[in-house]
Amino acid sequence: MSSRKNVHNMRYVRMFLLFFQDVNVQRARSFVWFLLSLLNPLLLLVFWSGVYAQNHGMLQGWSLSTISSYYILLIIASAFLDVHIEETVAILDIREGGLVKYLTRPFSYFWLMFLSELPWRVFQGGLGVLIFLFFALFFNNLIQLTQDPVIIILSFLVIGLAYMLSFVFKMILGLSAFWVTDFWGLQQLVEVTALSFAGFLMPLEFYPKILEQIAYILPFSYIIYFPVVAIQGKLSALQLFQILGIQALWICALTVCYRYLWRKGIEKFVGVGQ
Amino acid sequence: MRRYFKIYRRILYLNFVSLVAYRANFFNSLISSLVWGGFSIISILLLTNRTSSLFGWSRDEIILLTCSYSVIIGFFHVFFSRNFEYFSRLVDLGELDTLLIKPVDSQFFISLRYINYASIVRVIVGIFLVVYLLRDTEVSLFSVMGYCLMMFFGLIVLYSLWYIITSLTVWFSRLSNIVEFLFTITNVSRFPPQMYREFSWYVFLFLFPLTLIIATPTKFLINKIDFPDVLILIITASVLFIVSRFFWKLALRFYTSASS
Repeated sequence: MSSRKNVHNMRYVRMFLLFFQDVNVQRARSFVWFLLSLLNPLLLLVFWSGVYAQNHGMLQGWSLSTISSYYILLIIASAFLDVHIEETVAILDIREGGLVKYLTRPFSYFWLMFLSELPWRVFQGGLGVLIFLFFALFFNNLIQLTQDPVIIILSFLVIGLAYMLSFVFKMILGLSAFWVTDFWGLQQLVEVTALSFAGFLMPLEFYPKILEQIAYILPFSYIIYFPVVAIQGKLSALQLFQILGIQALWICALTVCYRYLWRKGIEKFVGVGQ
Repeated sequence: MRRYFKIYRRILYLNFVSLVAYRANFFNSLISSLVWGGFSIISILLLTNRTSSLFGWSRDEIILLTCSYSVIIGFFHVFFSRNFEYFSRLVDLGELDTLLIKPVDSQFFISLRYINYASIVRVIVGIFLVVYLLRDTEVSLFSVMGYCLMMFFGLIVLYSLWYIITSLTVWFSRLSNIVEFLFTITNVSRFPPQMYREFSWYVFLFLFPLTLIIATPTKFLINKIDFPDVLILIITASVLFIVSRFFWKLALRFYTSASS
């Protein structure tokens, strides 16, 4: 019984490695995707360094080094945590009918997509870590991270749940293509909302109070902002437990939503071929 | 030349027909344009929330820079960006051959055959905001004309840079996502050039052409322009346009067609 289970698990490991090979083949494309995650935080870092040069001090409790580490960690976060599976699900699988081939296979579509996306995130997140190491080596004064082992462990848990939350959310967005004829409109709207409320622009504490409160209600800040500030050591252990709880709640709610949409969507899906 | 005007008029017409036929697509692009335009303005309002001036520009001038960015990017989206999106996939999908055998200049046809009418809304919103921001400022007709002229040259810089970089797909056909990178790097032009100069001269030199696109027209509008600024933009636009033509011809010499 246990050997059958092992074989079953090994299938997924084997698939993950195959998907990793695919990413390796397309490493130039992946590098360009990574540049997108790199450019915006760097641009904003340059902007804030000018703001701090003019103000010579702290803004909302953030010094130049804390805000620099925020944007440098944001590079890793947006490369690793900002999942982009929705286009594959909506366009290649649902609209162009690629889903048919997955429906006949003895694998869960959800986990197959998970395994196909993970190597892209690992590759790009790895590049982000290299950039971080570059800054840590040559601009040591710009980096400020937590040293507390408990906070580090909890922060990694927050990162893990942030990845799952990001993935389930983007899968749901992809599934919207079962009903929405023009997927791009919805995708763009979600992208702009995420850019505004996930902390891509600046730390959420800098926002006007009302926008900050909205950001804490929406799931986006639990995908990008909180993992970054957690690893910076800006949150206490208690606050991290609260974040983990909220992330878990979001994942549960979205998983239920995903299952429902998948069931209804499959009933509606038509694959045509000869 | 007249023949090309005639062809372009036909392209404008055909794209309009397509707009009428696919109204949902048009409506979607319209919303998308508004959303992105709104985002770029809201983001600069948030970023400059705690400051009255930066890099020698007042807060209002920095916001004006973003509004001008909306106008130029709006025009760029109307006339060029959709073409570049297709251009980046032409080699990868093996469709370039079909375009090369047409009896028109390939650069003309590749970069001008699609029009995105929906993005006009971004231009209109941008112009409206520029006018609103300048409501208490005296602006002469000369400044407005200079602003428009500098915008035209700014567009040529943007077009040429995009064309040069997208031409790389002839050698690296898998880089069809390069346009996404270009969209992101164009954001550089939204900020004052002094920001990059104060940060690092190397960064400034690397981004130099992009820093001219929006800043020079805006400076013209608020009477902060110097003659060398105008000259630099015109020379940069002319040189980059010539380089884009040369680079495209060079790329085609290495093109091996889809079937070979």
